[in-house]
Amino acid sequence: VRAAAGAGVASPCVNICRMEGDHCAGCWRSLEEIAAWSRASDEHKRLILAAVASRRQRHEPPGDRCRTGHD
Amino acid sequence: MTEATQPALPDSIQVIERGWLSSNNVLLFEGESATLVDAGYVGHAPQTVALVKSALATRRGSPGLGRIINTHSHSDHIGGNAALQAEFGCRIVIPAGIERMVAEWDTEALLLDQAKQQGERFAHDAVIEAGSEFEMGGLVWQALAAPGHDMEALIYHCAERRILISGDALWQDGFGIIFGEIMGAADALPATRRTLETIARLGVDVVIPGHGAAFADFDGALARAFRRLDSFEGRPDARRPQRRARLLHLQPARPAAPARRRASRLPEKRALLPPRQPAHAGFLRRRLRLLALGRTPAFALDRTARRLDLPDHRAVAPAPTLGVIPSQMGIRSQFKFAGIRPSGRSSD
Repeated sequence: VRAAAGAGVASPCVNICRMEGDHCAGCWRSLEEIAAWSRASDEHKRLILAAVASRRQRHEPPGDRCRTGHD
Repeated sequence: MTEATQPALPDSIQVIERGWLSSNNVLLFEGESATLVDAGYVGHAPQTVALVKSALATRRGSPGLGRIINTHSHSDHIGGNAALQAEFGCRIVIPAGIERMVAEWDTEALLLDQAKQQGERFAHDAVIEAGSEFEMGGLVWQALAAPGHDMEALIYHCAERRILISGDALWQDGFGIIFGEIMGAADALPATRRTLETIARLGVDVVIPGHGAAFADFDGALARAFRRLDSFEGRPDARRPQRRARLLHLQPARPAAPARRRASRLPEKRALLPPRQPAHAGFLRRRLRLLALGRTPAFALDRTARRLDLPDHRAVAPAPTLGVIPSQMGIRSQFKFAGIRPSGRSSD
């Protein structure tokens, strides 16, 4: 069975799309990770999501979320 | 063979998939140069520049960006043109149909009536006519007229590799909001149908849409797009632009009395009422008023319309979720909405 193309793992993009340092202020992906997303395997995408989650935790302690991603 | 879940694209094509606010950026590499199809939303331009720079730098031979080619004039597709040209000195090529709007920077025609977007004016270097052929990424592409979402839009088809760059004329689940229909243009829906029929006659294995991932399910996407168009055409107001414009508060409302007289028919009609139509109409009316006031950029219309078009309409249909203010929906409006239904079919 062929899965819907690219539908295996959802993109973490939240339409903020502004780089802050090495990562997007919205989805915490690097430029390379965003550019590679459309060709990445589901496995690779899950690895990116895991990296995103750990970066988010490092940079946005719980309770501090509302201060990021808006200007 | 690429991943099972990914449609196969030639190595010379890289799709940079963006969020819903920006169009995708499609890079096509041709030796020492590259072409970018669509430039993303103006507010995302710095990231678009950074992404393109990064993609070019990681490519063998570090090509430069030679051209931008747009599919149509909306701000989420042309918003990055100026910033990319400033960075890379690339040429900008636009559909011939929008040449006057761009040359004169007609922000109303371009649906760009927002101060921030006006600042991103660009000058184009060339135009593409519908029917013409050109090369990108080492492949021959034909430009085809795709009126509907934008009446001057083009789509790009590579017959040799059966690839379609569809802009907002065809997505995996539907197509971009038909602005002409909302504004009351009688030819918008017939044009959209002709466009879908044109697309259906093409040989296509992979579609690179303006938004969302590239997909291989061409037949399924077409079937969904036709179904959606069927339901639009089935709306009573679709065939009556003036009444529709009034419904959307683009014209003064008539006195409510005649509608009240007909309200005796309401119970039967209500039983036939598909769940999404009232929210859809009310939402569009509200959005258009904001658009007229300059508070809602075109992409926001697009984005929220997409939400309405999710497969499970019931999940998004309740009016309060969409911010429709109940007091704005008088008894007359409710009656009108009750009369809107797809003709001869139930919404699925």
